[in-house]
Amino acid sequence: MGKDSATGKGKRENIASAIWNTGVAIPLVVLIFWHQGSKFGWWSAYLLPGPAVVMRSFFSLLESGELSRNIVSSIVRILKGFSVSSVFALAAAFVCGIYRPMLRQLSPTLEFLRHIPPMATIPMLILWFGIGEASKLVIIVMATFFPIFLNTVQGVSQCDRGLLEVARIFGYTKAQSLRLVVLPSSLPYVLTGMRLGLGYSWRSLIAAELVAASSGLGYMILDAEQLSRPDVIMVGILVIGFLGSVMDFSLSYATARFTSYGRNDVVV
Amino acid sequence: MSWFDAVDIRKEYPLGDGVKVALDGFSLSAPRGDFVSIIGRSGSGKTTFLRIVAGLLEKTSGEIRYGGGVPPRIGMVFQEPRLMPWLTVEKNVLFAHLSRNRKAIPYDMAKNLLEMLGLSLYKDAYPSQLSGGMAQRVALGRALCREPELILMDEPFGSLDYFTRRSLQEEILRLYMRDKKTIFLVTHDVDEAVALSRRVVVLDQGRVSREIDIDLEYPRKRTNPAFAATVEMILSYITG
Ligand SMILES: Nc1ncnc2c1ncn2[C@@H]1O[C@H](COP(=O)(O)OP(=O)(O)OP(=O)(O)O)[C@@H](O)[C@H]1O
Ligand SMILES: [Mg+2]
Repeated sequence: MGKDSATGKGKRENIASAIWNTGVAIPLVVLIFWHQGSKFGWWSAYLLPGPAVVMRSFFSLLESGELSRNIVSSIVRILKGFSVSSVFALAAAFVCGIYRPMLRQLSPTLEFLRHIPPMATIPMLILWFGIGEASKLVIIVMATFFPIFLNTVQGVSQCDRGLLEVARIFGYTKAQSLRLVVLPSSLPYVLTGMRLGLGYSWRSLIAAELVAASSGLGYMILDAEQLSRPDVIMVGILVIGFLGSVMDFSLSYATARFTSYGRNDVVV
Repeated sequence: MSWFDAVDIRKEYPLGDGVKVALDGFSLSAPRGDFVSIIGRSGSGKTTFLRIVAGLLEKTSGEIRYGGGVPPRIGMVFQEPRLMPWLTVEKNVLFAHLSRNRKAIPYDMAKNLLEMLGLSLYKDAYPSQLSGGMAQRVALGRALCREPELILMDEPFGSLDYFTRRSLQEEILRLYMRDKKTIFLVTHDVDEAVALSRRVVVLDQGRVSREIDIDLEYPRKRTNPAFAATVEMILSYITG
């Protein structure tokens, strides 16, 4: 405890430095501006309801269970799509990273697919699968496959040949080298790919739910639009941003935690 | 026939349209427990020979024979430590055993090796936390933990400072005196070769140009006039 902290001046300084260090200064300024603007009528409350109104609808949506229901259904989709996509992308990437001719065969096709935004396929997906779960799953898989696949291929191919030679001298079989050298050495790349993929999939899922869904945060926003409830839309937007950051932070924390290997200069 | 025989080894590397001959009629025999230093100018084929013995490289022709019939277990130390960055020091030392059954992992042996190499405190550290000299010690421990019958070292101290190099040389010598394993050491340092090995082999353009037996008592004093004379003699063989 610093001596200053007992005095009022020290306390104020501590709060100021905490705000500065955690980077909440900008959100705070925006919030104050938003609050003042609504209070003094700088814009119509219909165009942008004030933070107090948004807060109130947040709690009422929470109470009615509508918010949690939509959050859960979006998150469950992400979990499903993300796992399916990870399995395929990792398997494909390891095969391609090790067996180069396969990568040569696949890369023109993949390059072509990579440039198609998942949302562009939504009309076809609705045509084929309706607005049920399948179309959202496909969207998520499309959004996550490439970052995971490409990063993993890179991770596998950057594996230090010197380390593989050590394994070979010590009598490792090919499979053992793969499991005990290639796999761990590409882990940082795999996790980076997953983190990127998770971000992409969250955004594309919400977009897909805005067009074709009967639940989820995207659907909640769409529904609020039809009911002319800008406050609910704002709740949706803020929750989406918040959950996205939380997911990203968890993965980057895990990446730092599991792949720092004693280096303490890792920046999250 | 000795314990180790390399007979008339030839190694060609494809290079551009032609080939580069790295080893050309290279022959070397060694009894069990020999300590051979291989010395020679850059590009004379030293690394190529070690890599062929280690099985990392195919030879173009020639033969490597072992008196015991089967190839021995080999431990190798490279110029760089080549440690697995994701494994702790202890696990790196145990690397040769990680591919086997969990129950068969000889933690005791690793513990003894770490103690002997003065690394006990760093058991749970990661390679990124080690100095160059410590990392090279770990690499040595890793090679020894395989209980090798033949130890190959390719300029293992090349990138270390003088003091660290000297202390690792003493370490190697102590090990050699204790276990009498067969060691092939590639080095650029004539002093080191004379201090450590029973025999120095001078390599020139892919073949052995000289073999010198070092008949000095261990541990060898660098201040001994015979030591200095041997170093001078070998230097003159290399520079021609
Ligand atoms: N992969 C390769 N392709 C073509 N030529 C090679 C290759 N590896 C080595 N050589 C050549 O073979 C010769 C012997 O190389 P080697 O690495 O065995 O030498 P060295 O004695 O270990 O040298 P140094 O003391 O510099 O390490 C050199 O002329 C080198 O250029
Ligand atoms: Mg070399």
